[in-house]
Formats: sequence, C-alpha cells, structure tokens
Amino acid sequence: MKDKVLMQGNQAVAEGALAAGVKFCAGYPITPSTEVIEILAKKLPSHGGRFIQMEDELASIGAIIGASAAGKKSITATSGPGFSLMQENLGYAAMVEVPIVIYNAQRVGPSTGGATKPHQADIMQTKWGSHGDSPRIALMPGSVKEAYEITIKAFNFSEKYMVPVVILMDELLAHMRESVIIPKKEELEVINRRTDVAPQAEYLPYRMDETGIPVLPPLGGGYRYNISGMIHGENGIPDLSPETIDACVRRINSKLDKYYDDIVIVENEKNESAKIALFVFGSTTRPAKGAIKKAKKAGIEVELIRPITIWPFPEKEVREVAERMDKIIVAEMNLGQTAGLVRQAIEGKAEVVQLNRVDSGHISVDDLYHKILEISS
Amino acid sequence: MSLKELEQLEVRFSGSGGQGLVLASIIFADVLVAAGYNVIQGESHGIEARGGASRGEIIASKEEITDLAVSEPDIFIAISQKSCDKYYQDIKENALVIIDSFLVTEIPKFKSNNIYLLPFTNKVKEEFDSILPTNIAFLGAMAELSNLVDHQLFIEAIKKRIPTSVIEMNLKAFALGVKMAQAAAKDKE
Repeated sequence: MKDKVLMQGNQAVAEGALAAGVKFCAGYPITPSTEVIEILAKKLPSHGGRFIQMEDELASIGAIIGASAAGKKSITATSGPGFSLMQENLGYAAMVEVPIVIYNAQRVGPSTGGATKPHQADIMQTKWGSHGDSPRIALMPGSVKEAYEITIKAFNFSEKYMVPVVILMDELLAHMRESVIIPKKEELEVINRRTDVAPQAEYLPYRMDETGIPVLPPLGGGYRYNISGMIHGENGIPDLSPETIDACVRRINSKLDKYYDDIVIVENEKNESAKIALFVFGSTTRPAKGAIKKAKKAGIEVELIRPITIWPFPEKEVREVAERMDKIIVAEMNLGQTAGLVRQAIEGKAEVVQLNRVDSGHISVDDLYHKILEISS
Repeated sequence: MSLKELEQLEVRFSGSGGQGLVLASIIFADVLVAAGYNVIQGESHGIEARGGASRGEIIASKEEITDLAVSEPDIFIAISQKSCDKYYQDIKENALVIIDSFLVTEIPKFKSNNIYLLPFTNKVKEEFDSILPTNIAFLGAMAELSNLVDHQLFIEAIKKRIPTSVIEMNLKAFALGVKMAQAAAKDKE
C-alpha cells in the first residue's frame, strides 16, 4: 500500500501541475493562492522548467500565454482581484487557442474583499468576465486529493482542446490539509498537445481537420505562422469580412460541443427513493455527504449531484436528476450564481431551493441538514 | 472515555499569530496520519501576520470525515489570553485542556475538569533562552496527556517539519513538555 501523506490544497495543485508536466509558471503572489507559486518557484528548475515572478497579474497571464505558444505547459495562480486583472488575456488565450491553466483560489469579494476567507463567487466571472463570446473549461475539485487529480485533468483538457482551463477552488480547500494517497506516475494519464502538422508550405494554423481543434506547433521550432487576437481566418491573418467574423466566432464557441461527455465530470449517485437532490461543489462536497448521511438516519433520502466541471455547465446531467426530483437544493457560497444556471437547465422540472452563505463561514453539515428537514416537512 | 475510543477526534490549537500554533497543529496532523487516521487540518486567522487570535484545527477519524471545521474540541490548547477567551466555550465536557499558565492568567470557567495549567513559555525561556520552541513543548505535553499515539511518531514528525539547525533544541523542548506533563499528572493523582 502507498503511504498517506498530509498535503495542503495549494500544494496538491502545484504537485498536480508538476505531474502533468508543467514547464513554466509566471505569477504574482496573492492570498490564498501563494503557496502554489512558492512551491513551483522552488521545484520547477529541477523539473526542467522556469518560474518568473511578474510585476502583476496582467503580465503573469501574458507570460504564460507566450510560454505556451512556445510549446511549454504553463500555469499561473491567483485569487479574485488578480483574476479580474487577467480577464482580457483570458479571452485572448481562448481566441488564439493557446492552451493555459489558471488556478483561482476564490476569496471573499467583491473588490479586495477578504484575503483569508472563502467565497465561491467567481463562477460567472470565469465564463463571462472577458468581453465577447469565447470558450472556457472550468473545474472545481471537492477535496485535496481531487485538487491533485483535477489539476492534471486541467492540463490534459487544455492541451487536448487548445483552450484555457480554470481551476476554481476556494480559500477553505486551498489552505486545508488532508491525508491523501498520491497515485503513482504510471497510473496517471498525461496528454500532450498535437504537433503532427502539414509541411510548412501547406500549413495553415487555423485550418481544421475532423477534430475541430487547431494544431499549433511550438513557436521557435521552425514553423512560421501568425497568432492574433483579431478576428482571423484559417491563415491566422486578421480579416474583418462578415463571413470570417461569423465563422471564427461560431467555430471557437462550438469546438467543445462534441467533446461534452469527455469534458463534463459530475459526481452523481442515483438514489431511486429520493425526491430531494443536493447540488453542491468545491469545499461543500464533504459536508453534503455528511448531511445526506444524517438525513438518511432521519428517514429522508437525498441524492447528491456535484459538478466537478462547472464550465461547460452540466445541463444534461442536472436535467436528468431534476426529472426524478421534486426539489433541488442549490447550496453555494455566493448569492445564487449557479442556482440560476440550474433553473435554466431544468426548465421547471423541479423546484430550486437556494441556500446561500456569504458571511465567509463554510456551509456545514447542519446548514444542509436543516434545509433538507425544512423542505421535506 | 479515552481519546482512542472516539469515533471522531477534534483538536483545537489557539494562540496569537507568530506563536507557531498552526505549525504545531500541522505536526500533530502528521502524527495522526502516520498513526493511520484520516485527517483534515485547517487554520483560521485574522489579516495580521503577527498578533490577533488565530487557531489551527484538526479532525481525525478512522472513518470518512464529512465535517470541515471543529465544532466541539476533545483537545483544547491555548497559548494566549485572547485566543483562550475567544475559543474555549464550545469544548466537550471532558475535553483535555492544556493552557500556558504564564500567558493565560485569567482562567475562564471551562466545561471540563480535565485541565492542565503549565507555564510553558516561562520554562522554555529559562531552559533555552528563547521562547521559539514553546509550541513543541506543548506538543510534548499533549503527547503525554492525550495518550493517543506513540511519542516516537511525534519525534519523527517534528524532525520532518522543523529546520535542521534547530532540531536539537526542539526535541529537547518536546522532552521538557513531556516531563512537565508527567509532573502535573502526578500532582493530580
């Protein structure tokens, strides 16, 4: 048996990134994410990589996009105020289809808010914080062990689908330590982006094959092509003809559609006797399981539905649960960001009951249990 | 009931930022992991880097843990008056309470009778001419009084987390804590 070790959430993200083959990190320290860059600053050189502390978050995300364009798996780590500063270049990365991973340890907001306390209120920002329509994947681990695995997954998705991936945690999980068993290297799946391109003379960076995902060989490796945040056609050169604008916007925003089942990860144990479902994520995962156990003892059956992938939103899975339920409790440490998404997904098939906590305390077993009792009577 | 028989063990270290209580809680969490428990450890502090009341908490169980925070500590440790006053109220009735009686002079009315008032900071200062290893002296007393895990696991965990240059002093501080606890336990009999 492998040994259990005590690991912090932020440490799990840093170690997961190293296991995924990260070679570059640029960042600017901010609580509650700083341990990630501290660890990567220390360890990257011995893993054949580099860390640079940048002057701010705008520069941090710019630097990782550049490093990734040169073929290196890259990450930055931040929290709300820094994530706000990264929004412009997050949209740029999505537009030019250069893979990056951003770790956001959510803290109390808005604005400077509170550095050492958790919220889960950057969910909408992750998808819509940058101007224009553009694709994202966002993943929300529910434990320290999952933080390790999901960080590897984030790199895999990013490399496979040439898209920015955001790991959304909260301060609680970021700073919490947990006993975990780290999987062996040979048990991990690590995906690297494609580099099988046509000869230079025929190569067009944004000409799609049947995968619908571009193949961008590392800059500096001999291929010459244009990367631009302006609307571009297959050759990557800016082109503002209506046809190109239409094709470009539609293509980048639909490229993940056919991979939905690969990307969307949800924890959902079906319970045929349940009429109440509990929709939670992130650090609330643990208390949700406690509350479901407690309710069962009191004779109330409750089903758990927990998105690990929050973008794209798991509409199909949530709708399937709603079809079997009377009520869905949506518990989140914000004022209802995913409750709206759940309502939209289930189209009135069940009643949505909100539990919102924003005083910086976590949603506890008792908070959830009392809500279950209240709506089941 | 002995602490070993608990289905879930809850521990709270409280003190001022800078006293090393979070580190002590991490070392104790390491010890419990090595002893085969499932463990979660969390910390809570104000925005100050030094001072203010802060705490390090541990939940340990052989079963799956579903709580995120300690609600009723089975072990409560306080190294400052402010943190003692702030965090003592919700302890279990028979909780093991260990207090630095040099820094905590006004002892609140605890729910538990299992209280040890030991002048750690003072003793450590006398012995080592530094108060730095006070947190480790606390761990020594805790190892002795909780009777939960073999002392050797504490020593190994301390060696892993403490910088090599000060290990010797910290191991001596651990032994000092054990000795203080033994003497106090004997007095109680």
